[in-house]
Amino acid sequence: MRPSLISLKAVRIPTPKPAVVNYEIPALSSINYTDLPNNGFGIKNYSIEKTKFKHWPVYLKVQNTKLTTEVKRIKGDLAQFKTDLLSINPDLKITVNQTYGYANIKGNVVDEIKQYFDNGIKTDI
Amino acid sequence: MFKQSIRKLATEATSSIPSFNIASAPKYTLASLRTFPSLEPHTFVPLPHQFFNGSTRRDLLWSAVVYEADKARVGSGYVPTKGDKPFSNRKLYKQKGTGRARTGDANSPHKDNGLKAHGIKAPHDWSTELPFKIYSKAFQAALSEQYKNGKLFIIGGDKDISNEFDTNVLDFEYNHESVTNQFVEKHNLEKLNLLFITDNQRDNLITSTEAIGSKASVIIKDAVEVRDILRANRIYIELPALQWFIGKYAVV
Repeated sequence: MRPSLISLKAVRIPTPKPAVVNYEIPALSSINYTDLPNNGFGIKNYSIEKTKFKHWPVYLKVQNTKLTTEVKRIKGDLAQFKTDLLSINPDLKITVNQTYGYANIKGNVVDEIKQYFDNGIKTDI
Repeated sequence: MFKQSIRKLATEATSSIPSFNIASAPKYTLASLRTFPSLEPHTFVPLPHQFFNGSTRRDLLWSAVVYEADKARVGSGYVPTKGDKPFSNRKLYKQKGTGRARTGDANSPHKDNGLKAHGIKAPHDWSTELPFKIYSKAFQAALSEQYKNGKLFIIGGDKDISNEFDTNVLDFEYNHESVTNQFVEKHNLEKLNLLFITDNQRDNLITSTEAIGSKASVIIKDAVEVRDILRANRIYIELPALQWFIGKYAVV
């Protein structure tokens, strides 16, 4: 019997999982006190991390005809984040979720928000 | 009449760049390393913030626990159906002439014989799927919850301990049951669920903790689940096992 391509496609060779690499504990002397809890983070301030691919975590959420702009990965004081955004553009309709670190803005303002972040947030990259 | 006016020409440059109050989140938590069985702290180590001071995400914990419970189901439920043929193939009575409805054999599910038309058959796989990142975050949340409540004790360190009865390894010197009883009595652990997470198999610990039966469980690192961590009232974990967890469940 001739070997068929279809049956060969079904053959999946499981790739071995890489072994877990133990976490290397950094030296105590290499840690700055600002890296530890109670450094004032979360009191009238917050952080927004870029994604793995160095993009701002700003996404368009489409629910039928309802368009919402979602900002994710916000840690810290989200009420302050809302105040800061409103000081730039008072017309935005913003709701925040403190527990999960999300902010939802009414309408499609993805590019606008990314522009604000590019101008207003300094990152290493 | 004069119209008083304020001089509006700019004297100071105001930047048009909007300001965000950005600050850097904490990266590390200091955890104390202890000896065993005295639980005396002897040094600090910096450990990742999200594993020990993360937020208690009850939604993720719920998902992880459901996932583990589904995975643990055996799926041995078996309902007999017509195909199992518990009765004879014989036609119950003849096709015509009785004045009754037509019948086949006694294996029909509409008869009062315990058979179902559609029944579940063993073995059945009840396991569900959960993204590894979600499970990892649940693991972090579980460890954080216990650590913030002061219920997580990390055993380890490189230092030589002067006390001859204390070690850096999560194991007892002897395998006698009285060793566990002493440990429980000294640290006021009566009626509490104890969880010992070890890097390798610790025979003395396993044998000795049989004294308190189901109140103590000794688990090697790769068999630990989120449920085990949440169920325990006190967790004693070896530092290498903890490093393994952090290496495995670190999610950006």
